[in-house]
Amino acid sequence: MKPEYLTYDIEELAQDADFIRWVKQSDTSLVSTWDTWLQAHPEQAEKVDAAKALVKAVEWPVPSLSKEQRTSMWDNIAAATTEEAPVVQLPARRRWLWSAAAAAVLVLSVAGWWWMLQSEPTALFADRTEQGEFALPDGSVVSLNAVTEIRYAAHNWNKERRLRLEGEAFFQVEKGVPFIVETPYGTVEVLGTSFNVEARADVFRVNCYTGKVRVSLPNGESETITPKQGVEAVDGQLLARTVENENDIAWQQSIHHFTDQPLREVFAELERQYLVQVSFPETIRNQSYTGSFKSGELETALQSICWPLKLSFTINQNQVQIRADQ
Amino acid sequence: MTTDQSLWDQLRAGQQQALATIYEQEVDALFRYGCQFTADQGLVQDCIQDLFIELWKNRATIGTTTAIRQYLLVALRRKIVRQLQQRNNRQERAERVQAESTNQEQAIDERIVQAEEAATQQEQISRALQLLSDRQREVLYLKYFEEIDYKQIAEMLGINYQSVRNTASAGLKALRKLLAWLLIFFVNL
Repeated sequence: MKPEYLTYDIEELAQDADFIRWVKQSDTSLVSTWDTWLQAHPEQAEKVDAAKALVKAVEWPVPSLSKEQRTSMWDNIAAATTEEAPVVQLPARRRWLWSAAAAAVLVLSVAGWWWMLQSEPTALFADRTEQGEFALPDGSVVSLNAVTEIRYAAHNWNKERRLRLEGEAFFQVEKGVPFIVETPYGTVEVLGTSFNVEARADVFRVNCYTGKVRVSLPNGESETITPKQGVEAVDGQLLARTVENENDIAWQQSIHHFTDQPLREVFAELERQYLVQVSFPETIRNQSYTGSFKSGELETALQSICWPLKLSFTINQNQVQIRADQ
Repeated sequence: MTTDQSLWDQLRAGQQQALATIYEQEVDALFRYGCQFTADQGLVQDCIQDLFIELWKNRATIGTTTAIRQYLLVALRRKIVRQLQQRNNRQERAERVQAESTNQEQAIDERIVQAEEAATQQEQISRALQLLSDRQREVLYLKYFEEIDYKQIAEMLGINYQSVRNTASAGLKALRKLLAWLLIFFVNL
């Protein structure tokens, strides 16, 4: 204990670091020290009480982050600082507001500024074995399946909600101006709804869950689908498919369903969900599979694919070999 | 325990894990502090995200520090203040001007009477804190919430040590007056 404590006035005491720690109980080792000191110096009690009250008075409500806020903030930071994604920009919810204000001021540099933002679109990624859920600037939510990439121009979002997708994603779109998903294989346009788009390799499938979705192919072919309807592009045509259940979007719960789909698609999905390379005989490439596998346990996943089709498999480190024995 | 110094060095060496550790350690303090400048929590969150992204981008060129928290608090403060200035929102400015002018018109006595009407003592104290100037609040916040000493506060705010002490002292005096007054009020009740 400092000898000065005896001569300190109330304010001096209330500003002493050890005294504050004691009052705020941020250091429990101080409790006995101060108690002993007070017993030895009972005449100090009044002063100590007043100083204590003063320390306690410097207190006002402070907000704190929820666990979700903490996590989602970090997700944004991590997305923007991961080396594989050098172009990622913070998908700030309100950056455009400030941008709008800045635009008014920086009229002369608008062209350069626009070009800069244009050349650096916001990018969202999910790597192999990963999945991710992201909020878009208007509050619409997009969930990415593994090996999926989305790019959009955040600065222009309130005028035109247009993004480029490669891979598979589930969208929950807030009402507003048209929401356009461009893929290399076709375009999806909606107004406020939820829908799933799978656009990879030679696959382009769209399912609508709520609202109304317009799907068009580069050749002009287009189709409007309503809830529980889906379309699939086959040879430049959009074929209707019914969406009886939510199997196609179960990937969000890490379950990967297939209905009469060729095995090559199944194994491609497996390679996206596990860090493995799958080799299989050419003869079963287009064999049709109906069933599902889960992310998490490779052997179980392989079993649920192979068993119904009487295939066998061996796992050697990250190489998976599929055999058609019979 | 990793010290601030070595954590910072890891960050400068480009280890992303160091960024994550710093985020975990500091985000709560940063958010609390940021909210002292604005009621707009979304703005504070955006600024914190920007801060960490810039920290990573500039990791090769950032200076050394042994006090990560102070370093980040200062950087966040700068960012928020700049954003608030930039926002230049006419409506908010108008509201603020209005609030300020009413504040000035109102005598201290009146404000104490207002405090009197508050239901609980804590509420009264919260209201009473509005009697403090922004600077006093900030210094007292750093001292009592973050437990940073006056020397470091002076460095952080870029003002000299003695004026930090004077500001804190003036703030505490105001609070003491108020406490004395509250005591009378409660005894008379």
